[in-house]
Amino acid sequence: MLGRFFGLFRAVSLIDGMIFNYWIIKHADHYYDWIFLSIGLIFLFGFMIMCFMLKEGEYPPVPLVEEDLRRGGFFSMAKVYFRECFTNSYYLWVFALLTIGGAAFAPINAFSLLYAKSLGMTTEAYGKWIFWTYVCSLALAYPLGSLVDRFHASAWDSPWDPSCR
Amino acid sequence: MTNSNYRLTYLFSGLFAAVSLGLLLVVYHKFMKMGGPNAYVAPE
Repeated sequence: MLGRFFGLFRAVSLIDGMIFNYWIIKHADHYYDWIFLSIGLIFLFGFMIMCFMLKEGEYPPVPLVEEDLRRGGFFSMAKVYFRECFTNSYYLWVFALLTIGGAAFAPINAFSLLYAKSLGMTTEAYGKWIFWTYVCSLALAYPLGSLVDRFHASAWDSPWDPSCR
Repeated sequence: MTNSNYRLTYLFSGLFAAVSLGLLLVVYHKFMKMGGPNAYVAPE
């Protein structure tokens, strides 16, 4: 269920991207301030709806701990934070993976429009081509979500792990 | 520094992707040693 939900969630953002790239980005050279302002207002509107309509659930009380770390002050808490975050090699590897993996996409997102312009492509043509790449992603979003639901990690019967057999 | 040579963008993205693939293999190996998908126990 969660995979299909995220598939549809992704579909919404792809449709937003398609609208932006097909109809709006061609005006970005002359009206970028108004475009930024409009996007900010739409985001504010959506975020406020979430803030006012999302209700917290009922949670059990937080268990009492004998030693309250907050009593030691800022530096004591900072010490605990750094010890818990940066002394376990597994988490250091995980965050190195997430950071470098994220950095692999960042240059494309930041410079693809500049690259297109350096090749003599207009902003409008760039937007149209990006639109078609998003059409492909949109077609894949829901089927990929279904596959995640079918083969997700917690129900995974790994062919490479004999203990899962 | 690159004199607006934006083709290098894809080279650097590819390098980062290759490094992250290596990191993924390391993390996957450690993850499987901690129980894998069916018996994972988070490190203390």
